[in-house]
Amino acid sequence: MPKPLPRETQQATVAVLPAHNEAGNIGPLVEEIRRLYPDLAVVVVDDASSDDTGAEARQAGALVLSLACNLGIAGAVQAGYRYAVERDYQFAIRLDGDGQHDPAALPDLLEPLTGGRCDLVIGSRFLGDGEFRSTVARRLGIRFFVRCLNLVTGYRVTDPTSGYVGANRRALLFLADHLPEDYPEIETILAVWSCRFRLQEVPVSMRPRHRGQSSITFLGSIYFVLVVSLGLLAGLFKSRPQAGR
Amino acid sequence: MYRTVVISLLASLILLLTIFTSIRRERLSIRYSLLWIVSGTAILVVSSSRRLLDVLAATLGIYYPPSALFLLATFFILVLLFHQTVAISSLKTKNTRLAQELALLRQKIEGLER
Repeated sequence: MPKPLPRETQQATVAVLPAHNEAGNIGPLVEEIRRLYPDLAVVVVDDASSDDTGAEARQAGALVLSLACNLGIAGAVQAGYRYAVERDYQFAIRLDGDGQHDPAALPDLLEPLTGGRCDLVIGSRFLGDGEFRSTVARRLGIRFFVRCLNLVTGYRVTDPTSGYVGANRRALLFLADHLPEDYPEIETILAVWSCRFRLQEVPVSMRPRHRGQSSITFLGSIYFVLVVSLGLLAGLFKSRPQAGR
Repeated sequence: MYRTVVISLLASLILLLTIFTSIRRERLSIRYSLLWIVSGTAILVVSSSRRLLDVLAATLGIYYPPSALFLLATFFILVLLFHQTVAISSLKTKNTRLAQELALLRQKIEGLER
């Protein structure tokens, strides 16, 4: 049984669910979130799906942002953040639309944000006792980026590729304009560091996908490592507008 | 005259003519035409004078002067390509913003109609 979430917190928070062709997954996920936290706004960003993702999410009671063309994960998440900023929400939690992120962990992610202890929260699969299965290549890649990030930023990150991320309004205002492209998770940590935001990880457990295939392929992971490395390198030298301190 | 020089002279004249007609018919924005005009003119100038080409080749240490033409052309092609990639990147960002803004507005309208 998940921890209760205070009503005021629910009303100040929006759950952002990027979804691309997640019919069959998205409906049950939205229903689950709405059952657990009835006062939470649930926004599904339908990234130009060719299936019934949008209709299913709407049916389940979510607000749906339908993107006119496929923008990829970063563009979809950013659309959700922009919605949160526009409607004056204080917090946003991003969960993947495939149901891998357990909504029961929402209070754990929100707690450091509402307590004012940090600006960005990452749900880590490697902290705590949760079991996480993955390929050797993927683990190696993640370990590589963990080393890089911790060396540069001084954060103690264990799971930089996690898409289970919470942000307060200050971080949202920044990310609504400056969310990194392509594979945003790792570069976001660096971007957030260069703005001196406070970041914290909390342990979460992952669930297996309900249906459908993961989008990760072998060539894809090589491309991933290259693009993200380049992005990190560029991020180190990028001039950034001073985010509101 | 080298045959290459004649050909590049003709080609650059045609290129410049095409650029100007495109601007006149508003098919090409002034902003993007500038680089094309500069490169077209540069090739035209270099290929119109045999001596200029020889001097250029000698300065660059190229034994066969018409090769200098190819070098120059390659250089401009690279610059133009880079210019285009920059333009595409900026268009991509703007396109993303538009798609996001459209989705937000669409959602707002749906809310109003309900």
